[in-house]
Amino acid sequence: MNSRVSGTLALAAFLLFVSADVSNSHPHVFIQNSLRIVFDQQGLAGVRVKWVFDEFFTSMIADEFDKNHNNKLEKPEIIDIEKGAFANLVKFNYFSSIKINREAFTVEYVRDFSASLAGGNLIYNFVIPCHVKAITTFKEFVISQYDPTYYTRVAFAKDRPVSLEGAPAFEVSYRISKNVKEAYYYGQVHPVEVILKFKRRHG
Amino acid sequence: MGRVLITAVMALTLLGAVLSAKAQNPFIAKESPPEASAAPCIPHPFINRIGDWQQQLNQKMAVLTREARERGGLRPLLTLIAIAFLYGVLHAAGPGHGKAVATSYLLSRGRKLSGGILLCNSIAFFHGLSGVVLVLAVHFVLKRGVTGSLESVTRTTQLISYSLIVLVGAVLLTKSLFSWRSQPGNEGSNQRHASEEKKRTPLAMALAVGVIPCPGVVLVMLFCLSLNTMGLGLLLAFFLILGMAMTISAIGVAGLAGKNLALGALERRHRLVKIFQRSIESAAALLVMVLGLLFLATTL
Repeated sequence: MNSRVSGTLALAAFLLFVSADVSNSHPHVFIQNSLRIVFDQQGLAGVRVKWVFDEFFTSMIADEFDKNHNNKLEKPEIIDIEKGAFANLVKFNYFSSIKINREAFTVEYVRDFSASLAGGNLIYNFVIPCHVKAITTFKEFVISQYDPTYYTRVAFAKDRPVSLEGAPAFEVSYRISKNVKEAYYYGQVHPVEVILKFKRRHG
Repeated sequence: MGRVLITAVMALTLLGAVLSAKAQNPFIAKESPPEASAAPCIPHPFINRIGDWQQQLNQKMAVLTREARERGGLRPLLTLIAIAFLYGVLHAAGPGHGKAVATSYLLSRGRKLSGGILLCNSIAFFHGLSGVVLVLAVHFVLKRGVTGSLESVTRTTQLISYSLIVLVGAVLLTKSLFSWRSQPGNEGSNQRHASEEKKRTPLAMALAVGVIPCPGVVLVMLFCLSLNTMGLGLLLAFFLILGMAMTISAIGVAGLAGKNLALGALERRHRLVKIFQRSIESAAALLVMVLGLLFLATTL
């Protein structure tokens, strides 16, 4: 086989590879998330999660669940949303991946789910309980949120993506960074993590 | 060497297609999520950026739709149309739009680009139309919410679509295998029959692939219905479909051009071309069938 044939075949291979490869970028739903990391007297207590959905997904959920179409979600409607468009996420660990001192912590349940409509956007609020006792040396808590199927694209909100609550008794620092050692969706997208370090203040 | 490359190409296309088969809505889907990937990390440099762009376009489209509805006027409308088109282009770069099947199908057929473009455009058209029809039917006829219906309709149409793909693949493969046996002298007499058939099968294929409603179109239509502006919804759906048609066509044509380039390079050795062409066509026909079976297996 001459080199021209190999060349063109390689080109064909490349084109097809690109087509197969690009085929993995497909979010249908967009979430802007912000995390409020909550401390109690013992140390870390959990994470309050806020998800703001895009207006298109919002209209789909509102169409189905805002039964009286008043652009407000009342208690029974919120219960229906939790059952119909949230509870299933337990299979996906609520799109949350947590590591405590580099060991995986599986999110099996969440608390205090609520949903609301504001300015054309659907908002979910819920709490991930996760207690980590603070000691006098630093402990590391890492959280990232993503949909492994990439049906949903979760990206940090531009305004205050991370905040702290009840932290004065502790020495806390955090940063947001992309973890290039890990990737989801068949190794194609890196998760963006909040890496938080905390310890009890002396005295 | 050539066959190794072709096999590699097919394997990669197959991989892409199978990965994309699992595109269910995680908020409601009954299926379990995929296992955590043990695949080596080869992050796609553009994936994140395309995601970012889509998110921005998505927001802009929502804002402009409201604006066009409330204030009217040509300017927001034209920008909106441009954005819907662009969103369609990026949207179809994702899985579930039958690109792998379409490319394999094109490789298994003749060498005409026009046929390829027609097929790809028809896929986009049916895929979008199916979404529009679903929303209108559920909203106006059944007067129900679309979330649950989308899930069950998607599943039913998937089963139909994948079964049809298997069938088309089987027919293509049988024909391709028969063509190995046919003598050069017989080809002329079959030509008229074959050319008639070539006009019909692409449409059947497009229908088979495109019958699954496009979630992107569904979401845009629903949003416009919630604003009581069905006309705007149809207009946006149309340009979204046009954008998708462009991406699907570009990929289909690229595959076909690759095949033609490879065959063109061999042109002087006539016998080799025939063997080569038939090998590609048989392998691709087999692939159409296997893809259909794999899709079916992930759905059942």
